[in-house]
Amino acid sequence: MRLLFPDVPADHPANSAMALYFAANILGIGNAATPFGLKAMQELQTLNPTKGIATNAQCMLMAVSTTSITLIPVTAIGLRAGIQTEGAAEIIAPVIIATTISTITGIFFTILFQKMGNWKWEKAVAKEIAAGTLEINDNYIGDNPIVLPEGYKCVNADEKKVSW
Amino acid sequence: MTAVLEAISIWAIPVVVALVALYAIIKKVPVYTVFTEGAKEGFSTAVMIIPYLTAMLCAIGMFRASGGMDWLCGVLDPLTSLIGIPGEVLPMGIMRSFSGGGAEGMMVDLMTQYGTQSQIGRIASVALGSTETTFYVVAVYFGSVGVSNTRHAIAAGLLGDLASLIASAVIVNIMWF
Repeated sequence: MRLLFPDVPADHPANSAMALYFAANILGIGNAATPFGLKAMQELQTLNPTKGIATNAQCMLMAVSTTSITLIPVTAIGLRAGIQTEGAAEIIAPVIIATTISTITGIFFTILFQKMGNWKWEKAVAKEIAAGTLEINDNYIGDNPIVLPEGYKCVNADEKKVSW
Repeated sequence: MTAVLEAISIWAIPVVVALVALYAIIKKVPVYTVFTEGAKEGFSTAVMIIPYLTAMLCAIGMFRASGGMDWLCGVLDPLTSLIGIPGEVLPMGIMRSFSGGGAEGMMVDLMTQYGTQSQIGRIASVALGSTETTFYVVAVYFGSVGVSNTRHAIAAGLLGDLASLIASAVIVNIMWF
């Protein structure tokens, strides 16, 4: 956990939420693990100084969950069994290998991309400040909030709310 | 073996629900109250995700309906046959990143046509099982917290999907053919 998510302090509840989410995924309850993942995402959001930009930790969580770490591919086996029961479950071993490879690839590229060009955190923040669309997260509990330049006005805050 | 796995799939969800309720009772947590509170939260999360999901599904639908998918497959076919991925699996492999239901439908098509134990059938199954629908997952998770600038998340996810497709083809080819 410390390796993959260096920005998350060791005692933050996000760590346990993410551990729960990964465990649920590995055990194979796939779609039912979504609430855990959403909780983990919300915990990570409290470490996000902005409202609308994804942090490195959030992107890493995405990389691991979208490449999936399930041991038993229940949907694929079910569909195979529906057509022909013989040999339906033979794909378990290849799937475990393929999903491990894809997760490692996803993690590798996430670590690579988060330091590249326009995807860098500082650049994304600077771009949004320049465009005036940066919103500060009121629930931020970390130690380095974003310092806004003098006279910064968020374009979203000026919208007149339509009242029906 | 299949029977065991099928039994696990059928019983998994009811058992998990029952275990959670039992654990709550043992720990003296007011099960019904907590359950309904959680359900209320779930409802508001679902509503929060709606705009992001709508945008994503709309864009994907347009991409498919316009023939963009077929064009993309046509362009990539010569490249993928070099690696040993049969051309028929390619539409499903690409669809896997956009829509899980669509990919499942395509996989069933491929398997009914070529058989579950053919090279195409196996590659399709392994590709389906080894990754999730990138765009859908990103829309749901980031949508639930209101993040709209996803930075490199989608790019990394798509590369992971690509890796899983290539890895599936290579592994199936090594194991059986």
